[in-house]
Amino acid sequence: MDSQPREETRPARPPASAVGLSIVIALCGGMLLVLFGVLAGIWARDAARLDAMIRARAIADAVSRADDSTESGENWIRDVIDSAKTSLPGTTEALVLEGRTFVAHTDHALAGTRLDRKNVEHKRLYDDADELADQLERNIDERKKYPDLEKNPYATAVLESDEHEVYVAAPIIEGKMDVRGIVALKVTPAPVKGGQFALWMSIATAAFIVAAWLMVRMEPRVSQVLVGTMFIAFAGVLVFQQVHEASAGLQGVLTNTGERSRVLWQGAMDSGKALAGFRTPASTGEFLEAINQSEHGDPVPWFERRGERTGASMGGGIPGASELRPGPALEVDGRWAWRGLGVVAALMALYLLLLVTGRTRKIAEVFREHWYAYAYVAPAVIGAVVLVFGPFLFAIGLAFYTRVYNTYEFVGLKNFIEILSNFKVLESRNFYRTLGVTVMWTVINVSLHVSIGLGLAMLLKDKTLKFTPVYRTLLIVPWALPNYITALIWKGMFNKEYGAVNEFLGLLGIEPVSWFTTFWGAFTANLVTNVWLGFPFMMVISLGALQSIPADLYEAADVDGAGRWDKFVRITLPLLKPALFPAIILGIIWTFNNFNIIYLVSAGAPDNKTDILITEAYRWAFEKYQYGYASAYSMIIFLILFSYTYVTNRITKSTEGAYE
Amino acid sequence: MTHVKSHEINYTKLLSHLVLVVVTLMTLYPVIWVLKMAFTPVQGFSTSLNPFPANPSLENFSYLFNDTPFVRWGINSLVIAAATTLVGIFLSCTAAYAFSRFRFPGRKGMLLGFLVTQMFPGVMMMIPLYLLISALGLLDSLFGLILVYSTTSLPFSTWMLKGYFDTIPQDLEESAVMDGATRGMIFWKIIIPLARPAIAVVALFSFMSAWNEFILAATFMNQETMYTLPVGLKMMVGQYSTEWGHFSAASLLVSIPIVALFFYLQQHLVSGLMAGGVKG
Amino acid sequence: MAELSLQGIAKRFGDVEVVTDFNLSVEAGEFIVLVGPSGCGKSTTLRMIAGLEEITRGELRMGERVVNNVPPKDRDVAMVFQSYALYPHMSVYENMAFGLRLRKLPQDEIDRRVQEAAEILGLVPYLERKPKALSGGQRQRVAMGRAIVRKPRYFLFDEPLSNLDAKLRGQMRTEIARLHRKLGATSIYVTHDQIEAMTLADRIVVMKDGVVQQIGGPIELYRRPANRFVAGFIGSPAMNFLEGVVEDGMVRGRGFTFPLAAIHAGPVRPGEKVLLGFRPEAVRVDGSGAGTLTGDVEVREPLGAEVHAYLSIGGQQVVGRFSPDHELREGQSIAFTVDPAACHLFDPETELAIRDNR
Repeated sequence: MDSQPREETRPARPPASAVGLSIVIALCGGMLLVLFGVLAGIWARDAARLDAMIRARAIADAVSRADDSTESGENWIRDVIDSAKTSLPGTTEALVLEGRTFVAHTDHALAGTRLDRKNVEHKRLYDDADELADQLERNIDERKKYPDLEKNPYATAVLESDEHEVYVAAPIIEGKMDVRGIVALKVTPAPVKGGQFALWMSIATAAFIVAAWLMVRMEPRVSQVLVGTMFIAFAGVLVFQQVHEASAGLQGVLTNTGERSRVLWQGAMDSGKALAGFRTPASTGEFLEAINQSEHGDPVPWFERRGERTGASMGGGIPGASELRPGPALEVDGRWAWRGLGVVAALMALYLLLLVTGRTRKIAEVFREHWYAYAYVAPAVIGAVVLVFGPFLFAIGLAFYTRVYNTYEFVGLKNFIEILSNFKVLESRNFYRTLGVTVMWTVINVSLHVSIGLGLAMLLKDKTLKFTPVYRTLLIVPWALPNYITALIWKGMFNKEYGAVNEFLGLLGIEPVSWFTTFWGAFTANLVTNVWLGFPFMMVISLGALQSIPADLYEAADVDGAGRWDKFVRITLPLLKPALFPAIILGIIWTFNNFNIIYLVSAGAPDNKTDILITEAYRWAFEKYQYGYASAYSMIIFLILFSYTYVTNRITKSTEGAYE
Repeated sequence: MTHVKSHEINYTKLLSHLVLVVVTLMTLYPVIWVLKMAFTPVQGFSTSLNPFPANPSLENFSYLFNDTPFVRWGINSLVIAAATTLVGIFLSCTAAYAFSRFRFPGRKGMLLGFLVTQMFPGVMMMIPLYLLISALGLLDSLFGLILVYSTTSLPFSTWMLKGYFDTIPQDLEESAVMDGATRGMIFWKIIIPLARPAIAVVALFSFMSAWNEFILAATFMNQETMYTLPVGLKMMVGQYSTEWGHFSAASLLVSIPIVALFFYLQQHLVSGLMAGGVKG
Repeated sequence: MAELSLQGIAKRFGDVEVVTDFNLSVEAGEFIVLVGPSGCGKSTTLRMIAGLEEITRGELRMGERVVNNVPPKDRDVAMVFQSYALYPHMSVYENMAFGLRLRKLPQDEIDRRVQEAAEILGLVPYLERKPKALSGGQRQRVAMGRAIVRKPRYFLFDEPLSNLDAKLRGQMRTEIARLHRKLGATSIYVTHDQIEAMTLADRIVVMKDGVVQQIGGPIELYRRPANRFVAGFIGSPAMNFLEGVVEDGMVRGRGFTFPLAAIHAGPVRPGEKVLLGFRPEAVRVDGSGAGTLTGDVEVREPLGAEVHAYLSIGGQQVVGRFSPDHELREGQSIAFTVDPAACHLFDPETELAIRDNR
């Protein structure tokens, strides 16, 4: 417009591009820092876990060769556990659990004792033994399902993992598939190189901000190209070098552990107390390969198990690989280096594109003019990006992957197709069935909430009625209570033997109902709980809206000769609509996503039949560990809700127009 | 004539009272139940319909304090809820102020983005959040939950505060500008004090949602000492045996402060929810 | 050197120019009133002087300094807002002291100044109250007090009285006049009320659609309006206009013939269309003056001290101010006179006043 004369009046201000550029660079630098900080953390932890798993696998494999029915076998197991602490540096605790007994423990006082149920750690160990057995089973299923995927799984559970300690458990496999017990290890992870990354990155960023400021006298374009290119090139080299160094460091740690584990294993075998009939692996690489292989649920190939004392080796003999091959996590690391470079290259391309199209100046202008606004929103926006949008995008991405064993494999739309193309609607976990249950659940709930809420509000609205404030206060108690508490109370109320509901029905001469064994029983239990929880909200909304309807409208209607029903239909309902409609929309979303009630009251019983979409998605993620599948499921839920909101927004907008 | 009419009204009123009393009793029954079990030193679920404890005692409470990490869970919950509230208020106040007062490129996009987040199914966010939090090494840490809670309630708080800031007249700020105040001073000395009622409601909302949140806490916290109250309470209701007395006593202790707060600020909560909800 | 000068100031919002080429030079101690209908750009001009709006074009000088890009706090101005903009969470004292605190004045100085201002404005008993607990007039005083304590070089008023009822408005008007005489600071005052403008101003700036119509003292504007808009805006009831054509030293229109005064005879050409303007207070019934007009009384509004009569002259409506002693009946046809020298002629096309300078 008339920016020309304005420019002329302020010749002395520094080129805006320099300011903007510094800000952009600082932001990019900061983002890269965060990104690689997180990545470095992930690698280090991955490596630490992998390291601990190799140890646990090696020990578990060694232990599985012992005949623990004999005393010498048991002693031998104890020897192996004891030597874990000395020959595998960093191992702080090791134990063997069979059934509910510690067969061996580095803490000798515990060896031979039974699990203590009151002890949380012990409880977790026990649960984990079950979980490991499940996981093995699942791995075998998946191998049948995805025969083309050649990935090494780790049927090893990570009980706990932080920078100070990794706690893992591996199954002791007997026969083809049975889990005889578990080996659990606590390992202090080795420190990983690459920690100065943040330092270098901040120095570089600071230097380039200064450089950008200093170069303001140069022709803006030249300085932009120079500074931008230098920065991005430097960042690229830094990323690549750092990632490589880190992955080399990790590889070193793993190789070391692999070798030490093999030595331990070999030592255990050589002690002669194990069953005869195994073959010594030729190298650390072969050993690692075999350890990985055994995770499939297959026995280690060169080993004869007690159940099969035929002398013949199983599973197609020794695998051909003889040199050390990097484990799966190491491969991932290598890829990350290139991905990091890719990110940097993309940034550079974007930057050059902006530069060529002359956008940098505009961006810089915008930043100069509105920097305070961005400063105000920055904390919230960064928080939301990192902890809301980032995870959201990640979840979308995850929906296109599947977790096979412990790694992720890109499968495109397979998850979605699998969910949506299964039309066996009578099966309990079928998507369409669950969707139907969810819709039914939502519709019944919301209609009951509205009708009960509105009915009570109509009663309470009468100002001449005594004690209405008392009723009102008491009736919203369910809303005020934490809903997990009410859900758990109602679960108890619906208990077959001691629940108050059956007690009450007993008074009416009705036989006790086993609520959670039939679909309708469990559904009713959920429904009653949620209706109890949900009607106060609608009641309060309706009451507020009712009280805001001017009394003279009713008087006018009386004059016109309208009856009760007429007044309700022609005055009350239309005037309630503006307040009630949004509340219903909101109520529908809440109920549709009401995780707590379903999860805590019926827990999907019987047989996942009362699950709604959201609890089903949760089960796929946190009970079956199918993150990709669960993400796809959630994506579908999101799309349903999104289109629902979109449609209702259009409707509210059009009705708003009609009423104003 | 008049006599007949008043008689009729009395009859309707009686019916109204009858309905209200029955509904209120049904509503309060489970609550009375909890009260009864909390003061009954028996761990089974009381099977009698009589809602008063037979021989009341405080045994359940003393058990909670002496033999379970209940106090520890309470401290965890309190720390998490308080920190969540503080962080959330700070983030949402600054952002809401900018959204309300400044017009800058990207404003609409960001506001819309904040809205859309409210539609993300919680479970969908849990998987990546779990991976992220575990990658950051923040499982079993109060800090991890604080981070997650304060950002998940952020969009709602921001929208609500923005709505309130919009009602504070621009004149006040201009007047402060004339008085020589900088942007920072206007924000801290004029806007924040004026928005106190709205901030109180947002604070209460963040506090309540953090105090009551169950599923994220159950997923992120594995060590018993790091449990929050909801997780701790859920653990008391086992699959096969439930310590109903302990659970009820704990429920009572957990609920009373939050119910009191709720009733104190209830009116505001409703309008706030509706405002946020309608826009959301 | 002028105390405050605006040279070619313009403001644009998007594609709309709300203030165009504003030129004004203010002397120290002068009281300038910007007046005009709402949306005429007067408030925008004031806000540009305050520094609340960026100046799109032109130059704003305070003394010798160009202040276009100087932030408000460095301009030494204080402003009274239409809504008063009192900080609701601060007491009256705190409201007045806020600006001084921000300027890091010592506490005793702040106390002294607030006390002084409170005494001038009669606010001493209310210092500890919150604005909520004050009446409209008291709030208005606090808003003024907040400006006074700052002892600024320039006072800016943005329609400060428009939220008060009529009686209070009159009271505060005289109060502002008194204050100005006492403090003698250069003041710029925005209003849409011409009475406020007339009573307060040293000079008035009449604006319409972002364009300055006329600048001058109250009497000058009243006596010599530059165009039809100013003529109609200043004075109440507003000036009457009759359409006519100049013929033989007379203005002829539907239902009237009116002689031209000597001052008008020169510039007009015979056969030219003109608007004849005369003020309601110029109407005489005692037969004095040379021009006679006849009209039918349509409505009469007795105000006590005088009677406003709405008359129809050949279908065009005019207002006259009559003495209550004069008997007027609705439907009656009356003849009255107007001194031709007290009349104004306007070009109906350009709406500019027709004078000798043409």
